Amino acid sequence: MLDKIIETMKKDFKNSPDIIFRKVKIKKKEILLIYNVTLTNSNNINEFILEKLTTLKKRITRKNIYNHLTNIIPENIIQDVENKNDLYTKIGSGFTIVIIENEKPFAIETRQDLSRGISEPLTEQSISGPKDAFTENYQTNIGLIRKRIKTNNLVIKEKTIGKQSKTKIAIFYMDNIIEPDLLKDVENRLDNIDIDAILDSTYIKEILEKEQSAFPTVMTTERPDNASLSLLEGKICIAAENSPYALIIPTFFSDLFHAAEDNYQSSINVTFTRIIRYTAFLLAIILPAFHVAITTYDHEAIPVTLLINFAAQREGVPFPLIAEALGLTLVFELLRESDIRMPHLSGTAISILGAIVLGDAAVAAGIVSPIMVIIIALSAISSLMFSNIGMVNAIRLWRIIFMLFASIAGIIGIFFASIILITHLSSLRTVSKPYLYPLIPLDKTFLKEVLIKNPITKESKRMKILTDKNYTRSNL
Amino acid sequence: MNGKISSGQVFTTQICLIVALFPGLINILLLNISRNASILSVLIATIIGFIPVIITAFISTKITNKSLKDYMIEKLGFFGKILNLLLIIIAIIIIFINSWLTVDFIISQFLTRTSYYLITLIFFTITCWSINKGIETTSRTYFVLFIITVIIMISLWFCLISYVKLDNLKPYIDVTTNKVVKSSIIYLTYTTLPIIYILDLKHITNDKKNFKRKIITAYITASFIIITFLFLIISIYTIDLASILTYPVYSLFKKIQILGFIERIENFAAIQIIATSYIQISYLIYYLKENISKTLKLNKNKTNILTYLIGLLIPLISIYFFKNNNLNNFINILPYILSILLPILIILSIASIKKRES
Amino acid sequence: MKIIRIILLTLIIISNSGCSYIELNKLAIVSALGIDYKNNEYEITAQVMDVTRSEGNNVKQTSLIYEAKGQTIGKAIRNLSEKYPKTVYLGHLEIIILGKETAEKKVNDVFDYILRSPEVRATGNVLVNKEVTAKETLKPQNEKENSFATEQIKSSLENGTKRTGTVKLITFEEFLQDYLQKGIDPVIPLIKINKQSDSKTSNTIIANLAALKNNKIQKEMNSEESIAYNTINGNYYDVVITPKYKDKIIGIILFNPKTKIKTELKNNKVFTNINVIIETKLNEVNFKINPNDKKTHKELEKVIKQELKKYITSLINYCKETNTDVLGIENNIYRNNYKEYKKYKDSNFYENIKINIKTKIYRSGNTNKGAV
Repeated sequence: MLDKIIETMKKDFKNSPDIIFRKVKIKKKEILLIYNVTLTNSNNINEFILEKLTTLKKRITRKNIYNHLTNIIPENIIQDVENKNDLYTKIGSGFTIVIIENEKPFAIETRQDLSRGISEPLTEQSISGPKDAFTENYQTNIGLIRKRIKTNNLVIKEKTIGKQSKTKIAIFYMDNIIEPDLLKDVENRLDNIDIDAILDSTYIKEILEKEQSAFPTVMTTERPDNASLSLLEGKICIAAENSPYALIIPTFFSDLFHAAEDNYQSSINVTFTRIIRYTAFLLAIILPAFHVAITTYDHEAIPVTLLINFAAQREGVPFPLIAEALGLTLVFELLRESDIRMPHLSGTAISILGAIVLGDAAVAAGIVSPIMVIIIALSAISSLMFSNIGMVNAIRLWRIIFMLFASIAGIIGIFFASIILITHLSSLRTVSKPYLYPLIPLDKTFLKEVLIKNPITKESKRMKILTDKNYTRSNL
Repeated sequence: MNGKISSGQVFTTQICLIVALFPGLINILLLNISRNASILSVLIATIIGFIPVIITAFISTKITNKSLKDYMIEKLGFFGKILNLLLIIIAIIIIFINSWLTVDFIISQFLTRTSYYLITLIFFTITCWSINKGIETTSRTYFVLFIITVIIMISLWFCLISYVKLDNLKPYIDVTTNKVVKSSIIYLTYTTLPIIYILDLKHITNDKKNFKRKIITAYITASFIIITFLFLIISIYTIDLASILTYPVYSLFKKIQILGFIERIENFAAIQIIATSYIQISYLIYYLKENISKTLKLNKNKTNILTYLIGLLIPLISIYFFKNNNLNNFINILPYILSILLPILIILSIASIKKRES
Repeated sequence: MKIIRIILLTLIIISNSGCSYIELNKLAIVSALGIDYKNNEYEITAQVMDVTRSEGNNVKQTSLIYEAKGQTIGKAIRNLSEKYPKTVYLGHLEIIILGKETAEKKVNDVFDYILRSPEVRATGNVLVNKEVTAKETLKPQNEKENSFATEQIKSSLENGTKRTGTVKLITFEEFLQDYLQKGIDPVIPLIKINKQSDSKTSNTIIANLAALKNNKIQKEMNSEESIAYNTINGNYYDVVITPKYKDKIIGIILFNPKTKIKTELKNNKVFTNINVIIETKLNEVNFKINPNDKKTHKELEKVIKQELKKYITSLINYCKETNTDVLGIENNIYRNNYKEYKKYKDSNFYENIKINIKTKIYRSGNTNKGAV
């Protein structure tokens, strides 16, 4: 009978070499172990199953073998196998299936830890504050959040999404803070996902971001402290199996200007840094456009000494200004992209090439004007202040749009472009909440907080848009 | 349908409805008619203007979940349809004038060699595109733009204070009473009466209680802005120079010097002039689009096309028209046309009272 | 759909950029403009800032002078393009120099042009040369200099206003304000060429003011009158005057002048009070005095008062002589007594003038007694 099972299963797995079938015979009763050799820990199988079977040989009788095994094996996760599909999923998640003749099959967890250990965050670095980051291990990720918020109000809902991948997804929220409508909305959206595979949490991010926009309306984070803080604000976190990034829903535009660092520094310094971040955002988007506008249309806006300086630098440059600006932007993007893809060892070569060949030599050759190099570099550096890669890319797109408008109509063109940008931003929603909160709808207390970080003692209220109960954070 | 727009957004939209025509048209009219007494005449007009404003506020309390057009038809039947048609025509006229003023301002001060039609096309394509995103989005845009405008405006005022010479305001009245009255009537018709269009927002606000109060506070704020600008113009430029300038408000910005090296900022400061105009035009185009598409019961796609049709055709015709006919020839007729709004307001308010009694 | 839209947008841009689009290096930046009027034609002398980038990224800035003629000022400026290949750009015009004939005949034409043009900023300065043409003024004065020094002129104008009190830094706009107002005659600073007798070289200097009436520049004020004018208008920061005290010349610094002009109308006559409040301090004393002594103190103050009074009286005489109203007394009546203005419009404003000066020496420098 067991041979028959083996045969059908081998057929189902198309003779995959990593599926191991092992038959053991105890008290004339055949026991079949099925497991995936790459996903399971052979130590576990030896220790918990095979060894127990041999040491307990004496006590086992033909009749009580099933009860005995399920009760005595010192492994905490033992599950019944319901049907064939379930069986295959279990094998895929590192379980060992035990089938005893004429008994119900059951699965024992013998998973091997395939992920790397907890390491420092790579994209959201900080000087102070905790230094652990999410990993590809689903359980670890849940643990990292759970160990920060120990109350039973932290709810973790699990869903399985993906027809082929069967990826587990955990939805975290605080039961006593969350607004039920928001939760329902997110759950609805997740339930409606019909997709082959979820290979990373960014898949879910893209599905949740209904409106097409370059600006990220759902934030990814690899810092569990960030995720926990968002949970306490009444937001929802989503973690997916095999993904070191958790999603934070909803993400407002102002959240993109906050860094993980902000929570661990003195509030006055953070306020200053935030002002710099907003300035950087404006510089990154508008500066090249502004330069194009004032040097080709609105010459009056330049002071005399600068005007002469600019004019001299333009002397002999063969391209129109806008071509020069777009060209240099392209060069910068080339450098950035190749720098990201290159292994660290050859990264220096790129910086040298970029700095010397493309910057210095191009200026010396008279192909570009030095001021243009400065402008593009300044705006590029400003855009790199943001840790969120989505934000950086959005800035890049809008920078080019602004430049094009500036080249049609100068300062008025910039104004037109800003109308488009503002309209676009205000039409966006993050899940069902307006993206530009707290500016729109106006929330005076939090509008202040966008720019000024209050000391922790004064952050006593939660955002009203996210919660309709439990406003009070602290009573200090 | 309910609760799309916050009261703050209504507030900003209304301020721009009032202020929009000021930098391009009304300030010159006022300065030329009532000279130094312009401030006084605006003050008088503001006080008289409370009557239509309060009427508007009163009507707003009666409207609950209907658009202005539906409300008029409900209260007045067929007569309401005629009034609605009049409102549409006047809205078209305001767009007609203001789009010319705005584009002319842009061309004459910034892009002297660019075609009028190109700028009109770009400007109004953007306007229509944003209108098609829905009133919720556009009103938010108005709000953000207005905040930027206010920040620019207040910082400009602070920069300009050092140039003020109070002596230039004297003599406070240097024209006959007739002229003061005339200019206050002109001010009233151009600025105060168009606030009737704000009533169309009532049925989609989420803060219906505060709507009445917002109308009045917005009116006071807008008057304050205008009076401040008039004060600055007269006291800095003297009336003799100010009355011969085409854009006194814009010329004021040319004077600004911050810390001795930040000068020549008038190009950026001018953005607030364009922003207010943009908001007014955009809102009125929205009003027309809503009104017409609901009357003709158009589906969403056709409504979008209608927006582009209204939003591009009126300005383009206006540019063509005013390039061949000087605007100054029509300035004397316009107040008469705009003053039709007053009887409409009164009829509406009477109708509102009547229904309650019966 | 989106791609089509983007392509359309770029098409519009490509086909239309170039309307008002001018690259900086295609501009001829005019920094100073001389306007002459000869034989019913305007002669424009423009100083164009020309920049070239030589090897090694060194910016070489030279100023070139071009001339052109035309029936109107605008036409003449356009005609400049015949000689200079770039687009003439007046957005950074800093100084306009009116030549002798323009100053006498065509002043309002110049201001009409400036006011009308959206390009010319109204914050430049106007200067008048009463002796020679603007063309000559703008030409390099000696071999060492290769150009007319716009920046230097501008800063010496500023210094002249703040520190010597003999000129007034006046922008087109301020000038127009005075020009358009009722009952006030504007003043304009003069520029001169100082030919030195020994050689070919000469200097451009800015000195003193002159009133403008009926579109005509009047006689030049002397430096004392100019100081008086600036004192009454509160234009300068600190100025040195040299009155005589006990027949010896001393140096006094005047600063922070505050003046109020009050007019009274009585019996068809205008009575004017000029009340000057001014702070002073000792600058140079070449003999022994004790400024802390009450008597000396009073005497010194008296000397200063007399000196200032002399200046102002001189200015009043100038007004009487040229029949101008640079102090704006008529304007004062218009603003403060609007109802009676018409009655007194044509009366003589400079007949009954009383000058009251209040001053206080509150510092004698870093020494109490003096080194002498």
